[in-house]
Amino acid sequence: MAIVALRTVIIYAVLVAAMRVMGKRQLGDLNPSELVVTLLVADMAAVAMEDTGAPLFGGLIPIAVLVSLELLLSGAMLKSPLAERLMGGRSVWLIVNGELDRKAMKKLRLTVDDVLSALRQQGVFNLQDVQYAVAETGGQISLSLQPTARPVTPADLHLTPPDDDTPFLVVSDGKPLPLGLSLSGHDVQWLHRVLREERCAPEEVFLLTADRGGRTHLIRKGETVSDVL
Amino acid sequence: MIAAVLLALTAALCIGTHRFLEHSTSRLLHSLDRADTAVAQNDLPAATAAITAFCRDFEEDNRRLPLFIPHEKLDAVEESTALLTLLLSQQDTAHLAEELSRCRWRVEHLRQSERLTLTNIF
Repeated sequence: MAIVALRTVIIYAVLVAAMRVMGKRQLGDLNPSELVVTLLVADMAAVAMEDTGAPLFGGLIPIAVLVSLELLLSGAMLKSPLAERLMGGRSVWLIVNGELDRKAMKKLRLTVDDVLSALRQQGVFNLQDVQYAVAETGGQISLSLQPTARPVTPADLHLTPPDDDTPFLVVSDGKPLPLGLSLSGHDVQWLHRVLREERCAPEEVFLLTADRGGRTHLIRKGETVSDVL
Repeated sequence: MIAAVLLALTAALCIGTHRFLEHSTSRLLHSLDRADTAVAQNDLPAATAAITAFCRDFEEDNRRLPLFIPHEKLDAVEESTALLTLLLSQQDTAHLAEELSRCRWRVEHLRQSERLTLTNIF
C-alpha cells in the first residue's frame, strides 16, 4: 500500500513538472496540476474498476493521494504567489497595440498561425484591430480590441437602456425555490396568489419563472410544446 | 483540512496494512520453518501440526489480505496449502519438503514485494 502511495506521489510530481515544461500549448482550460490529476484519476479509476484481481484499495489509495496533493497544492497557490507562479505559470502578453511579441510567442512555442487562429475564433480577423492579447495561464487567449474596432455600446451613444429584468426560476418540478423567489423580489404569498390566478396547484407546476417586474412564465406538468405555442 | 484528513487516513491505512502483512507473514514463515525441520527429521506428527497451523493461519489472514494484496499472489500460496495437505495425507515426505520450500518462497515474496524498498518503488 505504502508503495502504491509513494509511487503515486512520484508520478504526480513527474507529470506536473512535465506539463509545466510542455507549456500552455498542451493545455485547455485546466491548469497543469488539475489536468494531471484529471488524467490520472480517470485512468486509476478505470483500472480499479476493470482489474478485479487487484484490490480496490490499490485504486482508491492513489486517487486519495492525488486529491490530497491537488488540494494542498491549490491551498499553497492561494496563499503563496510564488507557489502560484511555479505551478500555474503567468499570463503572457502576446500582442500590444497590434504588434506581436515574437519573444513571448517563442517562449510559449506559438506560431503566428496559432495566434491568428485564436484571434479568428474570437471573431477578430485583423491583427491591427487588437489592442492587447494575453495568453492566460489556462492556455486560452484573451483580447481587448482597439477603441476604433470595438462594437458601439449604449454608453458610446450616451444612452441609458432600460434595466433588463432577468427571469428567475421560482418553482421547479412542483417545488418552490426560496432563492429564486427572493432574487425575483417576491415571497411565498405572492407565489400562492399567482398560482391561484393561474388555477394551478404547486405540484402541477413543471416550471415557473418570474422577474422583478412581476412577469411570469408558467409551464404545467404534462404540457407539450404545442400546448405552449 | 480535507487534504490533511485524507493523507492521514492514507498513511494510517498504509502503516496498518504493512504491519498486518509483516505480522501475518512472520507467523506463516515460522510455521513453515517448523514444518521444514520436522520433515527433515522425519517427524511426521510435528510436521502435521506445523502444516495444519500454517493452513489455519493462512485461511484466517486470507480474509483480510485480499483487501490490499493482488489476488494472484495469494492464490499461489493457497494452491500450496492445498498441495501440502494432500502430500501430508499421502505421507510423501520427499515432495513435501519440495513444496514447503516453494511455499516458503511464495510467502517470502509476498512479504518482500510490499516492503518500502527502492527496488519496489521504482
